[in-house]
Amino acid sequence: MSTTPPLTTGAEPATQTPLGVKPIFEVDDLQVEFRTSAGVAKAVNHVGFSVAPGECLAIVGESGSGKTATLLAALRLLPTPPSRTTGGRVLVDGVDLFSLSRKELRDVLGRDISMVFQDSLSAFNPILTIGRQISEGVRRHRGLSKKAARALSIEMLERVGVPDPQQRVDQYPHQLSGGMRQRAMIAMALAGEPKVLIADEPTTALDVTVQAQILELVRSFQDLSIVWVSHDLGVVAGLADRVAVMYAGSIIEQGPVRDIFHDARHPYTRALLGSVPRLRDPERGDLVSIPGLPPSLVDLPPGCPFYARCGVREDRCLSRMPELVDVAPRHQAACFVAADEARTA
Amino acid sequence: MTDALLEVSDLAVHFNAKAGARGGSGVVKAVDGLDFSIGHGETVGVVGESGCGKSTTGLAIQGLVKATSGSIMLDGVDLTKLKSRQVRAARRRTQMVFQDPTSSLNMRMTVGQIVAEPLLVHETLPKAQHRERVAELLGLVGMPESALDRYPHEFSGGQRQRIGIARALAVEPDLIICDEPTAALDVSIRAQVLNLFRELQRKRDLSYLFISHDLSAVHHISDRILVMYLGRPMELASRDTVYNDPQHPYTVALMSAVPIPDPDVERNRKHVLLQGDVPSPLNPPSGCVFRTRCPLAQDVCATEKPEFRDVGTNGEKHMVACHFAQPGMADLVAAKAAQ
Repeated sequence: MSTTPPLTTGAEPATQTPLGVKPIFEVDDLQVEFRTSAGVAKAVNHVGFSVAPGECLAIVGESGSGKTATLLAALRLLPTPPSRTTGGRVLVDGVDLFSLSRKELRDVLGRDISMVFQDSLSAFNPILTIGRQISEGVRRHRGLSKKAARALSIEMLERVGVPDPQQRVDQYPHQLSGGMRQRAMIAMALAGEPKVLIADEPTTALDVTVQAQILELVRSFQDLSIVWVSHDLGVVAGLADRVAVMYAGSIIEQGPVRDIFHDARHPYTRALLGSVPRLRDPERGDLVSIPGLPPSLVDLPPGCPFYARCGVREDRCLSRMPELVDVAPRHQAACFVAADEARTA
Repeated sequence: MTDALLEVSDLAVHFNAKAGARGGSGVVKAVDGLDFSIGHGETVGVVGESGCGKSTTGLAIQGLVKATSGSIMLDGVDLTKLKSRQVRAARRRTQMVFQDPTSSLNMRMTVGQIVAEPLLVHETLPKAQHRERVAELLGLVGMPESALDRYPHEFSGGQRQRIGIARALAVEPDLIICDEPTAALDVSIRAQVLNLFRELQRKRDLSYLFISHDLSAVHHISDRILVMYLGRPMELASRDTVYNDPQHPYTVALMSAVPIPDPDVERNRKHVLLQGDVPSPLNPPSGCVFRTRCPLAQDVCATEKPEFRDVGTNGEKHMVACHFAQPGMADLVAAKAAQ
């Protein structure tokens, strides 16, 4: 068995990703609002990105920046109300998820695209065995018999490094340790041989030693297309091919991983990188801290959402939200100042 | 080590575990055979995986769990042998800052009441002066005086953590025990709080016991670092020694697992991967507790418990509990793991 997604032939490159191949997963101009008691919160504002086959895109940002809302809304997993997706398009291998019926959507989720979450305990049903839950998807999507699905469950558990998979397959979620349960969730997500894996902070609740095991496991699936949401810049540095940085519901910078870490252009990205204490720092000065707080999503300013905390702000930043523009090859930033610098460089 | 503020010797905290749904009963040795000290104005970081006993250590020092044996000396006074009348006075000298600022602040009290509560309990100041003192404390942690009459829910996570720090500072403790104080905070806010801790230390000559699983934060703030595993001390040395020349294989693996936020470094380094999970504390391995996951384990590790001994050179104390402790351990473990 292989979890390798079929390679796209590239025969009809409708949309070009920066790599020049047809993207497997595309989010275009997505807008999501939440109705709250304080008013309408604009959680996701014109977010767009694409993932090429075999590519890993990391989405980074702090709490409330819209990372999770973007992904949940893209897969139509957000409850409506209170959420409302007010615009945008999401394509999985060319299929527009927003045009599907509920039933058609169920066929795509888990087969073409699957998701792993931060909290593996609440992602599993506590009263069904691990094996039953891994089997459920492959029986539905791949029409396997009960017996074949069980055999596949054991094989998948073995593949993700769960010891004694023969025994574990009949155990309940609470009987597994956190690290093992996270592996089982990855086994469940990959059992249907999806084209795209969406991972929302899947290692945040784990100890670093177990996190290192999981990251090594994910890296071993080289052909898988991955969207990896994380606030941990170290994890992102080791895993991602490209990085998108979100702030207040918008992508404010995106580019190849090396560009983002070594040549960030948006003042927020720069400050974020500076605020991480580094193990290699011989001298420990004060960390860069970003003064203030992100703006309320209920009352977003008309201009750049980072204006109030920005060190290089200018009056024009108040006029309108700067759009993402090329600042280097395959590297965009949503900042007037960064755009000027790129033009004059 | 005569000038130590806190001296923990052979500390043990054991819990009786009743037979539960997962089976097994007996004694959980949450902390066992722990020795370390904290100097005046010093920060000691405690790191280790979940269940290694780092939080229990903090709680035992604060007196929130009872030490089973051993001693905890604060300026020459053994906190484990206090008469009930002396407890309160001793507690004033150590204060705690907790992980979750939402659940550690009473949401029905105003910020002013929260920060003033230790003053009421310890009666260090006439009540008429409380408000002024609280305003001063809030200023110290970078909060406006207007916060006094507001409630915790009106503040962000980072601001609530500042309120928790102000409360800890209220009775002018010598030692603050910080149990995962930045775990619930975002990166940029975490930086603000870490900077605040260091600024307060400079101003007040505070000592910290900084408990965290966030190794980069611990490295940033600590003078010395204690590495724990299954309730036992593994290694204790200056922060640079622990990071640059660890002599315990567990420390090597732990450091290697911390992702470095630089793609060029992170992709080209060799990770030492530990196999499996931490064993059950109800049934810890014989001899060295780390041997079941140790790439260097030999027969002797199962039979003989390694002593927590000083391997330091040129005057620096460097404690390690490993039969095979030696300089260049990182390379040794990497070579072994590559086989």
